[in-house]
Amino acid sequence: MRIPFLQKVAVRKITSDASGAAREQATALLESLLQELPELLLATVVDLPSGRLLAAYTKQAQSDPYKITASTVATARQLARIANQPGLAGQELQDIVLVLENQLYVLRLTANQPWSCLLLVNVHDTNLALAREVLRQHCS
Amino acid sequence: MSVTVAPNQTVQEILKELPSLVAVAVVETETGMPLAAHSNVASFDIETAAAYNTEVVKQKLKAISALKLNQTIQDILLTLTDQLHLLKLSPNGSKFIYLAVNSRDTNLAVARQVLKAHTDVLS
Repeated sequence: MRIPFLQKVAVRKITSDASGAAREQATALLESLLQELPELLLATVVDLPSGRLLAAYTKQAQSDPYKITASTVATARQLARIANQPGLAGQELQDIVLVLENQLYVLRLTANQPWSCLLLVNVHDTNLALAREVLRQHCS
Repeated sequence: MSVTVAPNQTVQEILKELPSLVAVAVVETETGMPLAAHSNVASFDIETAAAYNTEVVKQKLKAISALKLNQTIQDILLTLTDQLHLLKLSPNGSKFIYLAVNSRDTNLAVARQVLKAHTDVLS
């Protein structure tokens, strides 16, 4: 017998493949995000030069953070080229927000390291301004 | 019967509402080429920008399907040092409006409202 609520595995744990200082910093970044936005659906920290997932947190079992790492890296690299476009000299990308039907997807580059931090929240509990501001504070 | 507006007219109407915008274009998602465009900054190459941004849209569509979120993209917002770039897909996803504004004279809420009103009737 399939009981729907037993099929939905709640994960709610920060996982990390990295080691040393990078692991500590990436995990600390996610912990601080979770403290401000405890209901967030998914958050990842990716090292852009190597394309490696440093730390990840997910609330939903079906959203696998490892599967989106490649597309996150590709997007971040594409966005880094935006400043090369004619007419955009001197502009630097700060963040990218995707407004979905009832979720918000926010990607931001961290200030010191070449890392990207991805945040996925539900619009029912977190608005666009709040999600961007929390990510801005913790990534700078 | 729903009323639809041609890309050229959409660009003119957005320009009327936001006269100080940096650039605006109606772009075909499949090819990345603008159907209608206007730029207030001479050095801003809207054809190149449209092509770059189409790749961003396609990459994001892939990311959303990889995450199995069962959600559709409503809009995409890029924050630059002092510009905001917004992309809003038409209801069937075949076209998108690309709008670039200076964040000093147009805030995000205003830019999103203007785009929302125009994408719903885009033919």
